[in-house]
Amino acid sequence: MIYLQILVNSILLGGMYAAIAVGFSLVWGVMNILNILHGTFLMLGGYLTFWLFHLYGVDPFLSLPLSAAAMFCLGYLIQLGIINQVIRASFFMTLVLTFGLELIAVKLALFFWTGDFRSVQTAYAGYSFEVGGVIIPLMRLALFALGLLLTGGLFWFMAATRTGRAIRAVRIDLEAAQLMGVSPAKIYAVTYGLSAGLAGAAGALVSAGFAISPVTDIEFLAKSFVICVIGGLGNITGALAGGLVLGLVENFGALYFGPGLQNALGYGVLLLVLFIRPTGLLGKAGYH
Amino acid sequence: MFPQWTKNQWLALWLGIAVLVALPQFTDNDGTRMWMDILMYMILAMSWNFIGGLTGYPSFAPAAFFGLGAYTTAILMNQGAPFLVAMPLGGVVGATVALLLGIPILRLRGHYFAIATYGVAEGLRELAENLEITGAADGINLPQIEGTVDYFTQYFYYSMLAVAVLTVLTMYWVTRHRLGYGLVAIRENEDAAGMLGVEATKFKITAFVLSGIFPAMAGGVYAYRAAFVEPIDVFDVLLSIEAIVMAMLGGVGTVMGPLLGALFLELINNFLWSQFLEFHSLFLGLLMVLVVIFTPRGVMAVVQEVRMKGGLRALGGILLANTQRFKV
Repeated sequence: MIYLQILVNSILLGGMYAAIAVGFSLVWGVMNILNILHGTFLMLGGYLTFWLFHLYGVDPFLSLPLSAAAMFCLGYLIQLGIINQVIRASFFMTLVLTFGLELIAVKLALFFWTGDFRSVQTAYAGYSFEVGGVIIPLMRLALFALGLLLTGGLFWFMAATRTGRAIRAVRIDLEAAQLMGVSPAKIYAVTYGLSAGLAGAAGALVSAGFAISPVTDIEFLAKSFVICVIGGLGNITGALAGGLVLGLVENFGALYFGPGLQNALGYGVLLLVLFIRPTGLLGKAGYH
Repeated sequence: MFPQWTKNQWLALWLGIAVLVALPQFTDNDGTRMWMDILMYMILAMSWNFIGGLTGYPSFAPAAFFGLGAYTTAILMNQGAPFLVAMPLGGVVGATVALLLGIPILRLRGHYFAIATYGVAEGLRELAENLEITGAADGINLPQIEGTVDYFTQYFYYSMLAVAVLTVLTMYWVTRHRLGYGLVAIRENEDAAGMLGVEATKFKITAFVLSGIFPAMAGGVYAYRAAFVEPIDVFDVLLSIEAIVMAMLGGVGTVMGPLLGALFLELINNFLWSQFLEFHSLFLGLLMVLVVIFTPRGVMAVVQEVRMKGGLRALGGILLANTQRFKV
């Protein structure tokens, strides 16, 4: 019985991890940027949701699209105004650039909001129900559903829309895409905005299920690293696969080795995957 | 690529070392401690330069080695080992871990290498927070050093200075040796370097080991001085970030660059710490953004260009041209 419960917990956690990492995977896959700001967008989305709830009583599920839209705009502007200026320099430069931006954002967040942990305390936050002896917390289920929704939505967007096709075109062959009338500067900004928006959406619900503070952004980022490497790049469903594997590893690891070591186990799996199969479980060379 | 130093350059180095040796006689203990921190960051920045600068593999592992050295020294000294045995053994542990990890990790390139080294540092921190031998999240106390404040401040200072001198001499030797040329060849084009007979794997592992040994020793000195080690302090990812930014400021892949970068950034940091304690990391972040945007090929490249184009009047134009260079 306990195994079934842990299995369900792992799957629910995996869905949430997919929600956290799917945008990170997009930016890495399309622009070859290791986006250190990714966790920061999650954290900011979480704070936006927190303040909307705290000041005006807006439900997190209602502020989710708002948070996503706000982070899309922020991400769009950051890419257009700052990252686009150096995007053709070595990948290491964009890494250092986004790291610098992360330090600035977190310091400002600490300054305005302090380092206190906060969470959105809705009436239903602690609610859970039982199906066949397995307990399912409502917020965890919602986060799982969000993970599926964001992954599926991005899959549809990349496959079916004109902008999605332009993003893939820029990834596959920049010059050919330009000849077809695609403006890379704008497409990069849209891609980065999308990634930030996905993080904002995830952050809205994460803040409703877990406590956040300005410094938790690095935890979201570290999870994204592990999830994307396990799942592999070049495939939108990679984040979902990586999330599920990490969920299983963490929960069953906690069962056998104690809860303290689950993060260490996550890094262990990260290194193992890198040593054995650096392209990840579902990885492909391009982002198609 | 790396010309032999002229007599004057050697003179400047030995003069610098002589000044640093004499320094505690001319400043108070606070000043000595400040210079000890500068030396520590010089060690971190120069060590990163072996793997990140010369070889072009962006490592986030300095914090991992620093922490390993700190914990090794702490554990050994609690077993009764004297500092001068424990600290070098910390270096040996750092080098051994670098060797064992380097074999699989250095097959990775680019982002994957960066993430793997980050994973090692964070994974070690998580382990240290949970294992009994490292005192878990409580950390470990070290035996207190005996003697007057003057005595032990200088004791730690000279220990750090010794490690720093060792690091800079090693860096000089490597860059004038087959090894250094091989590493630069790997950075410029690893496949081509392999075809020219550079044993890439062996060279890269050597560079990684060199980048591990000195931060581990510095971590040992740090631990004995603080008399206390805890995971979030010695496995702090900011240690790696600062080492990288210092190397970038001074000039990636040069001998003296990381030294100057460390000196510059630490002096500014010290000023900021004393004036606005809160905003130290804000400044670091701003500096990183500005350096990347205005000097994407390194600060040294700008200095050279300024020299060639005749003085500071050309600076504005050079910086502006730099912002256009890597646009979409």
